[in-house]
Amino acid sequence: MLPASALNPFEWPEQWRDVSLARLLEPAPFNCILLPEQAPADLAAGLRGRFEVRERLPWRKLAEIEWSRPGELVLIGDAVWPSVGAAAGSDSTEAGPTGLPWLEANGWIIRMARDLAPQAAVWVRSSPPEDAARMDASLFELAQCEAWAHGARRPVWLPPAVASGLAADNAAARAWWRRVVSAVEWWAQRADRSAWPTLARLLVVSDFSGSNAYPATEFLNLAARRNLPWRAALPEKAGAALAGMAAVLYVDQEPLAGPLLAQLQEFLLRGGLLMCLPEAGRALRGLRASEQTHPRFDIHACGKGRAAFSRAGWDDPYLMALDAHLLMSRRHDVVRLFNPGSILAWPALGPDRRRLLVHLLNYSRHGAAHDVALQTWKPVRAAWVEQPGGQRRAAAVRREAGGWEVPLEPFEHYCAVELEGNEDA
Amino acid sequence: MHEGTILQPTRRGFMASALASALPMKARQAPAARVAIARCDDYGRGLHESLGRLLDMLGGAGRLVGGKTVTVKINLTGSPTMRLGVTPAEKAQYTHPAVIGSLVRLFGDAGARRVQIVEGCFSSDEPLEEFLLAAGWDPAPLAASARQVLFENTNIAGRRGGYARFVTPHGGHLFPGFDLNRAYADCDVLVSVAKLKEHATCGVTLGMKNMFGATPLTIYGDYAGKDEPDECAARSGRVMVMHYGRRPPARSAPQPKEDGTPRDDKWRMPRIVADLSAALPVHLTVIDGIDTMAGGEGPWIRGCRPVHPGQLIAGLNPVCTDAVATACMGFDPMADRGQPPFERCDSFLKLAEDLGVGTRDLRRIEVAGVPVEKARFPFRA
Repeated sequence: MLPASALNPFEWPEQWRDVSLARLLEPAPFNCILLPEQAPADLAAGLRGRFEVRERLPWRKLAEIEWSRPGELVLIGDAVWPSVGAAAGSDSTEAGPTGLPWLEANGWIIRMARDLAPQAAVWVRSSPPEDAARMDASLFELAQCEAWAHGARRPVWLPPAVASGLAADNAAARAWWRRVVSAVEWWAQRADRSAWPTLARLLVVSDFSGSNAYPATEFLNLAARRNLPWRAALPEKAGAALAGMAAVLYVDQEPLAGPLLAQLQEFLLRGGLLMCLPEAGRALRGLRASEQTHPRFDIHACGKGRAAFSRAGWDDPYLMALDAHLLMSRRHDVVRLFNPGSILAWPALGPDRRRLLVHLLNYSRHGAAHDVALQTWKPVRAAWVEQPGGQRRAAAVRREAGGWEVPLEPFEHYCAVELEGNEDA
Repeated sequence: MHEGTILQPTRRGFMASALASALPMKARQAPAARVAIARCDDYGRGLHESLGRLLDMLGGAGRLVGGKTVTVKINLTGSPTMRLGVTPAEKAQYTHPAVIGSLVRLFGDAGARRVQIVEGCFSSDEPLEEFLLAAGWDPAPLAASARQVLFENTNIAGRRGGYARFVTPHGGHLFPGFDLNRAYADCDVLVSVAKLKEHATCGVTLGMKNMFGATPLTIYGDYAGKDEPDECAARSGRVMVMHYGRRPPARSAPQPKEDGTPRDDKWRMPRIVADLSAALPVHLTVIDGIDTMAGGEGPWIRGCRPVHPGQLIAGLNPVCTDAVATACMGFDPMADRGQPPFERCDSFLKLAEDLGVGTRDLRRIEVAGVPVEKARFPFRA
């Protein structure tokens, strides 16, 4: 039996009643079949031996997952279909308070799950899309890229028309299938990179449960939308994650206590920034008046660092993300994008800690309207770009007033930018 | 105003004298002041020397800023992550940080007591330093360019709290006055550091149009307070109040004379720019025309392109300076509505001249350094 982390899952369509249809999967990279609830009794037997077969998996909503006991496989069943948010009942595009288009994205969910359950494999799935017109192969390619880029697996699910078409050897269905399988094959050859950890300067600490869950998860979502990377940790595991962090956001209402209080006190003394609710931080010692003022935070000096207490609480996650970003300062941004449009960036650090891999996902699924450039403060010796279906190739790096920049060519779903010489520390 | 000489500014005195004048001047009476033009091919080592030479041609930085508090209004129009293709903002729509830093250094070396770098950052109340970081700039070298350098986003009341009132002499065309961040009042010298660009609504955007960004969003923004400034309202543009007059500014501020006026941005905006230039005296205008863009003021205007005029322009009177800069762009500063670059809008140069701020008549403006004919870089070529 393969470990969950080695599985590459495919959802067997309900209308495939004949085990011989498994021949369609033979050249594909899937090694795990998820059977539907109504699968014929002999189907599992016919597939076992060639595939790992899983039945009746306990998919859960993100909010229902117990992070203290995640198991070997975290199954998140309420992921979304990645897209640019469309206003209900209209052709217009929704915009958030930033004026940026709203994006339906799962990267933050996957990264959160990976941080909170580092020993587990993370799988995500969504309910079938309501609108049949959205079921083009491009959407499924993006969904696969999103899952793999962030280190999860998304079992490939076939729209009913495609499943039937494949069974009937329909050319359009075959073309659809080939596109999606190609994307998965491309990623399967890069599974190690899929596991590279986030490079972030912000640690978000919460138990992600009860009344803490909403502000904590919405923060992760909206910070990711700002291209502000973070690591997430449970309170009892936060100490080990503090290395390299510039700031900690402690979301929970419960007062800091025990080892975490001591660890954050030390973090402050060394120059870190702690953001929390006033009642949560009341046990902190050595707070001094600070000259820094903020419309929504009371800021205290502490050692070489700062403790920022939110006066208004966490009622507005948008402001929470904005304030956290600016309080810690954009100076700590690992990378920034120009003309980003509907592209989200997420930086990951290579095992040698000298290579930075920036995952870029284009939620509009077509080339950017303007030329996109990626910038970093730290010197870059060389850069490479790679897209599904393409070859890894060297990219031009240019020096501008703000740092080192890599101009990007338009891409449909995903582009990896690898920067060498960009040390994490 | 300060014809042909360096202004010996006491800000309160200047404002009082402007107010004392009861009637608009005739165009021929509008003051004239020297404008200097220098060639500068890039933002490298030669820039500092070129800027120093430019200021020397105007009488020297020491006479202007020695012992004074200087407010430097820069131009960062639009989102900091938006670019014209792959061209960084500082080489298209933003004043280049090297120009800002070099000027601040010159002011510091000339004995300025304090330099405040200010801007109303696009749709936000975030600290100016953070806005610069978002644009990919490091504010640290700017902060180190002189002894005491402060940054302020003037979309909000900021560190001083409250607003200062600037009254438009003669009542202005549209706005009889403006309430602005106190950084514009608590200074002895106000400098507009602009970009040499065309503008979709105002024809050109130079030193005078740059000052439009001084109007705080808390009062003049789309979500401004109804009665008082709303310090949480700095999250959009000024379209509703300023461009189209669809709602008034916060009632605490001087109200525009809206009776029967067109709700047309190409009528309103030039008047607002002219009124601001009269209400808020700018003592020195420096225009970055080294690398810039043609066809509009930002990448959101269709058909824009990067251009390289390779020049710096500076002057002590904002109308004179903008008039010379307009000529350097290949336009006639005496043009009226219907003529380039004011094909679809009124000329704020003419409107400001009507208010007595300065002349746009090149025959009355002394140009030092590179002659206009040799500096001319046609933007519509």
